Amino acid sequence: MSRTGAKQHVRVGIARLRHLIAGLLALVTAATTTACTTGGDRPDIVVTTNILGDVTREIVGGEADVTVLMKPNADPHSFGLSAVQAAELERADLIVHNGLGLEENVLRHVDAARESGVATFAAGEVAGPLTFHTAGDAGPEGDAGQPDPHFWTDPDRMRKVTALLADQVVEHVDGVDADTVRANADRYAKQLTELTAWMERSFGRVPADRRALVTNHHVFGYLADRFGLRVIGAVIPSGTTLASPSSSDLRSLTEAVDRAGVRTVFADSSQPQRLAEVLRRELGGGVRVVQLYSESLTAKGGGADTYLRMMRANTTAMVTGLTGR
Amino acid sequence: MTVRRNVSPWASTVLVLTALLTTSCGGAGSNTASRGASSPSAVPHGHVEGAREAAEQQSRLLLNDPVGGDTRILDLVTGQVHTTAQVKDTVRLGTDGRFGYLHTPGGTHVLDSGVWMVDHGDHVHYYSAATRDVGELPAGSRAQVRSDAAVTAVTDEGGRALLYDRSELEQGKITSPVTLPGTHIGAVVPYEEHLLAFRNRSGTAELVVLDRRGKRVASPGVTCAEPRGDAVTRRGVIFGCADGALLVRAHNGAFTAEVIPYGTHAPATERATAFRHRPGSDTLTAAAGDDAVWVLDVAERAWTRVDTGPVVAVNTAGEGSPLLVLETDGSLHGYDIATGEQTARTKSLLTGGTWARTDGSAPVIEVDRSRAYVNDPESKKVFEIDYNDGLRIARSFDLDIRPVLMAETGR
Repeated sequence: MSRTGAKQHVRVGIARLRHLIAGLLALVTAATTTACTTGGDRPDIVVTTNILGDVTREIVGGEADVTVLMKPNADPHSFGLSAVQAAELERADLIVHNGLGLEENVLRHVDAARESGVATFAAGEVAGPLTFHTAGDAGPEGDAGQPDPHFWTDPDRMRKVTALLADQVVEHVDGVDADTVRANADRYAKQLTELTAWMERSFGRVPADRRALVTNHHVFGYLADRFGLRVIGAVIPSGTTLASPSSSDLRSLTEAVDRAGVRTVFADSSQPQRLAEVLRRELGGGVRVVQLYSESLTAKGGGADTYLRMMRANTTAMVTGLTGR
Repeated sequence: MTVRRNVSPWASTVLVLTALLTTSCGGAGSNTASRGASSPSAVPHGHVEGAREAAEQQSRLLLNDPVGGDTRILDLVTGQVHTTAQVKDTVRLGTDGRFGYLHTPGGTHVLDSGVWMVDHGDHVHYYSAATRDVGELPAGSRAQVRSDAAVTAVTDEGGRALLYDRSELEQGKITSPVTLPGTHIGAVVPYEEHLLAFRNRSGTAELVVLDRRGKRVASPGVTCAEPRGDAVTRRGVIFGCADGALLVRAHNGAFTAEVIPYGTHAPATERATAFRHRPGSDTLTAAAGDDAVWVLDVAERAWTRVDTGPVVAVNTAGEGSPLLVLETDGSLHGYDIATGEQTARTKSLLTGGTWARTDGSAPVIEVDRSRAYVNDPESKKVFEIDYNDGLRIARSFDLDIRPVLMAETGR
């Protein structure tokens, strides 16, 4: 039982670290933005994750109100709803959620709303899901063979979702102008096509033998699949373990670095400099620790406040980390 | 999965306490102690006002010198040392994972270490906040304090028990407690929205299950001869009895009790009387007389006796980690629990003195998921031990006080 706890903790911890960085300020900002529900009769779309929230807003434009439940810098696996938010779900014209088991604490509310007649759209389920690899091969422990919910790391899949999402909006949200929504979706799809092309060119600069992500994230499977990278999972020492680690505390990570043949680790760590220092000592020679955005957008101005900016920031960080430039 | 290893000639007695436990789950009960964990709230999941949620365990050590009264909280992640109120003449220092309870003849000082863990079953949350002196409980030096998430039970020397609302302690307040009726033998232990206790019934200690007002809701006729020592594990509560351990568990609203006999003859001087373990672990340890240690594997329902040197303190992280024994030579020794072989030892960590295990102020071993800690009062040091790396001394902390008493929180 305690092993299950540890496993869960690893996964929760990964996503949560990032919201610690932005801290309480982001929460305050979030509280004000989510409070912007108008009292009018405008059609309302409720979106669970902030990544899908951004994409939905691009498509809907000014045609309907879009309410996003997950705050910036939060963890999609663990965020919950207030009573007010749960009630909002029941009144929505359309609920957009990720699905594939991502929003664990929201699923029952989405199910309840669907049962009461609200239209729901599970973006991940129409995106062409991949399954997690086994734990020994970069997948999360115990989840091998389960669908991987993190489809958004592949911009092609996101583009596929936008077209289907536009159809859903037109079909279920009364009063929206269908032509406007479709025009928005087409425009955004074009931006996503450009993003994909740019990412292809960027990763193309990385020599084939260096296309390896040593990481404690379990979210980049789709990106790796699309752009020809290998994901090599590793446990990142933290807290008191990182203060004075043994070789065995670091073994998962040092073995991953050896397998990858790349001296850059893409990891969330509360002490990235300390982590780099202990790895340098253990492996000899420089090791870089690079942080990525994984499962949440940041607050405005935070570096990944839109889906497009998050994808570009991660691509740049990966390419720079892997090429040393 | 749980293969019984120790085939004991005594069949373990399983007694189902078919009590009609009318738990107020979902009912209209006015249980003030239960905080609606499942009710939707206006805050994000896991959010706690005034606390920072952390991705990793936030460990701190509470340290006290009874002579001068100096008290420190050492943050093991940042290395920072916090100074808190002076508490003199401390006889014992206990903890429930967040609060430290410094027992003195004049009362029990409650110290909020500011770090804690919330177990949601399939995942956990770690928090850190400022440290705080909460105040005094009117409980003497021999009082016993046991907590769960909702209540803190304080049982005094005479067996009278008071129940405090733990959420008030979390707010830094000690409010008037609920007084439980009757007297109890040993500590009253909060467990699964109830209280477990022993009450005298014609000269023997009988297990009773109480509600959170102290009302008896089950008393299945299970007795425990000379109850001493208790520990809460994920598999149930263990009580030490003269002939073995009593494991009490809750399942679907009913409580079951199961005897885990020693299996071999355990004279009164060698029975377990105080359990030490890593919170969350199912492997308990206790001294077995002067030169041996009991290991109780709760999952396997099996006792193992390991012969050691003269014991000062004992503990283990469980799950295949070595048994840790601080012996009178001052060294920490590691033993393979299955074979009883000594596998590692440190240099001497203790400075001067003779160490008597029984007086409550001997050095201790605290264990968490990755490291163990040993206090050496005379040299004003705490040692951090990597128990999975041949008992390597990972760090040592120099303090400005004699850390006579030590307890770890945040686990």
